[in-house]
Amino acid sequence: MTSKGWGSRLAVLMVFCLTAVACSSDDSGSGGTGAASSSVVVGTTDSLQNSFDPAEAYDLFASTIDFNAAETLVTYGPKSTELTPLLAAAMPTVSADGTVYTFDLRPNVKFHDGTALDSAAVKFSLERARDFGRKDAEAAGFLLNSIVSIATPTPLQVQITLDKPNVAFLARLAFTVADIVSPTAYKDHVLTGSEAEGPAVLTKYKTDTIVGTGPYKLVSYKEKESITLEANPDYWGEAPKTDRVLIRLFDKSSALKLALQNKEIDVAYRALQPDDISFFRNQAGFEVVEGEGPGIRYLTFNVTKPPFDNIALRKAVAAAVDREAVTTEVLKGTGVPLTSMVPPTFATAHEPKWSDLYGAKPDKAKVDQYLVDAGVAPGTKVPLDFWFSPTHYGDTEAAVAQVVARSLEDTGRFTVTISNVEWAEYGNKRRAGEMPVFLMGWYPDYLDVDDYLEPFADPNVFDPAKWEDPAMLDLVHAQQKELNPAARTAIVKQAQTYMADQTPYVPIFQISQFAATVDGVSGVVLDPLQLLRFFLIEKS
Amino acid sequence: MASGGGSLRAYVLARLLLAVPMLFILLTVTFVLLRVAPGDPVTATLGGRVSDARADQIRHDLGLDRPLWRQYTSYLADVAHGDFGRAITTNRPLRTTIADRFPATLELTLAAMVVAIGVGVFVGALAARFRDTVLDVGGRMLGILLYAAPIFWLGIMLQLLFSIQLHWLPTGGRIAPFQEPRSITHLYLVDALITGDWAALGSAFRYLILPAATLGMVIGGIFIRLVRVNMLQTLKSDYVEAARARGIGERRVLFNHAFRNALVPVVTIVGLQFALLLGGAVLTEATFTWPGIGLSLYQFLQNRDYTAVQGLVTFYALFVVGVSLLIDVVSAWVDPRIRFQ
Repeated sequence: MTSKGWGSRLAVLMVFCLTAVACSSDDSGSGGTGAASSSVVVGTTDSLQNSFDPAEAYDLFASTIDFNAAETLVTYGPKSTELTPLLAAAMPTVSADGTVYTFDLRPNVKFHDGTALDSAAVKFSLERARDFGRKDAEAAGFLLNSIVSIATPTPLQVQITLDKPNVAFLARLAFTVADIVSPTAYKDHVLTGSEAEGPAVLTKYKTDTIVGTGPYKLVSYKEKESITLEANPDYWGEAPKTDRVLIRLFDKSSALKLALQNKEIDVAYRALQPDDISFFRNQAGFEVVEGEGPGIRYLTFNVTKPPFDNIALRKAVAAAVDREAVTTEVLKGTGVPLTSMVPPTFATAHEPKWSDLYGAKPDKAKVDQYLVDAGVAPGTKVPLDFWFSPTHYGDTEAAVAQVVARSLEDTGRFTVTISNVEWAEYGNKRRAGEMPVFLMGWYPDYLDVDDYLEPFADPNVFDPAKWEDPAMLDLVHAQQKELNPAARTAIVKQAQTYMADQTPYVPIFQISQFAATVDGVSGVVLDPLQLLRFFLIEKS
Repeated sequence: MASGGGSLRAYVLARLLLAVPMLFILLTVTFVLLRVAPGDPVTATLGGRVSDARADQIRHDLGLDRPLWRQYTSYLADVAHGDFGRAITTNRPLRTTIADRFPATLELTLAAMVVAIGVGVFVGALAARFRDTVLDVGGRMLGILLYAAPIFWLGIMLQLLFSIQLHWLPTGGRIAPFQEPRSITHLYLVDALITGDWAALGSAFRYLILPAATLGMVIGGIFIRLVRVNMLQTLKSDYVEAARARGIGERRVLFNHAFRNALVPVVTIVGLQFALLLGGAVLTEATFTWPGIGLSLYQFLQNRDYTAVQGLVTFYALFVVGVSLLIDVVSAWVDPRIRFQ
């Protein structure tokens, strides 16, 4: 072959490709044009942590996919914290002692594999998820641990019996761990009593698919690249607004921002940086959607070791933290100051006790008084060893830590040493009790005040402060058993008051949710459920 | 010395034998590096997210609780069987990740090589032809600049210009949503051509331009200087002088005599640069969210999934050794002098 021959062939190929480019649709312009059916492209920096199998999934991203592809017996409507029936025909009847829940199922519902929903499928799915949680501590199945038995009196009736009354049980049933899946599709993926714990067992499960009854079918998952959902043609309810949804996975928010800016994606959701949100707010052709988030951020003390086994010292720090400086300087309005571990999302139960006791703003007089109570000589400074993890909670975390540290030092009574360590080691240090005071965050599993109390009091659930206070545990258990809503609210407020008085934690801010879209996209609903409803999104 | 054909066989055999200790050293170094890192891979990867019991179980399942020599022998045996292990974070076999993602890296690397050769040969030849002129100085400076420019910086600059300012090309990804061609080779351009899917071909080409240009231009910087130097030496050689003396036109002397001979050492260098391209592909893929094996490696590194990193580095090492061997053999076949050196 002569060089001339190669050259001419190369030139022909180049011309051919360029012609193809010229003739192809402007696919960078609107993400998914050129397809006959309607489509939307959503970008996110989230990624699958483990599995889409609802019995195993325990992260926001997998739950978001599961929420659109499978359904629970009850759920929350958009922007609502009230439960409504979904696969159940109506809200359940509850026995007088609060331990038996009877559900009538919606008829004529089919799974993606064509099989019908019945009470056996509900029993299969819930027992499977519960058992999975018992084998794997990292799976969400522990949320269903209180289920003792499930009876199926008729093909469309289910009776769930709990070991003890728990008013948060229905909220747990709305979480994706309680998704009802097709027994046919999952029959070979059931734990048996003889199986050992651990990933060797888990590898036999389908991790990259879900077969439920939801408005979308998961048709393709490309690891750390994309997920494709297609409308379920046999869906029993209102059809999704868009036929196909492609979720593009980005590994950094800067790439997500560029893709939206170039209109390669229609929606950028979780997580744009505060500066990016401001940018799209002021940019023609884009819209920013804001919603209340259930996530909270807080300071945690290790209450088992000096210096923070001294309650007065904890109170001195609580009186010195400047929440507003964090939300305005660092978060630039993407978070709101928080003065209770139960956020104002739960309007009737929220009790802003930290501001009542320690002030809404830093209060130097209170700091001095608490330090006197703690036995610190007037005028002397208390050294604080303060920790944070630099990437797990986003790029703003270092700035959050610096502003918190600055507000403590501004009282003139603390000298703060800030240290950081990556998330993997952070967990080890937390468990080993090596960090005296450190930043943490909480995103609830289910939308109930219980999920803001029990995890911070019960070491079997979480309790990063190693608090383990019997009085607090009694209050937590009391509100779980109380069937009367008003009486329960009173106990929840009492628990917040006690928690604020003991202050093993100092709430700092509540995280708001943001999504940015190109013009013409509607139906992006951001609410405390924190799971994006793809089936409501459409593009004009 | 044996006959020509025999010596080629001997040469290939020698190269194959030499590849064995090379592979052995590479695999051993990769294995040892994981073990000398502080902490153990499971704790480093999952940290506080798992209970001690679960971490022990994972360690057991990965065989990390066995004696080191047994881990080493089973590692070699697994690699020999094409098993690169299982990622802790995704719980998926790396064989699957490699099968899914390597075609994207190969497509990007080959396209980058085309860009590199195109830029290198064109600018290098031009600089040599117009030695000591503005074109020459400009060409040489461009070569240094391209070689010295960090890949991610160059990539971001191209993104800002061609995607954000001009809106000509996408910022990242491999193909437009819902436009993947029917999968045959997993190389989108090839699959689109085979299936006659022109929309997919156009889309795949558009998405390939910026990453391939970024990666290719960095290597192109090396080629510019190489082609220029070789061209200058060739233009001074006796046979070129003889051609000119025979009254052959300058253009013909340049292209038919000097140019082709000046490219011989470049071809050898092309093979050697392949490893550099694969390394550069990690950064390019991370910049353009190009779903190749380099992006996987970058993501596994971010997640501190050391077993996945070990598996992918092992694959990279094997691939580079394989390519080097192939280049050696092809070079020896093309140029008999190599066999006798």
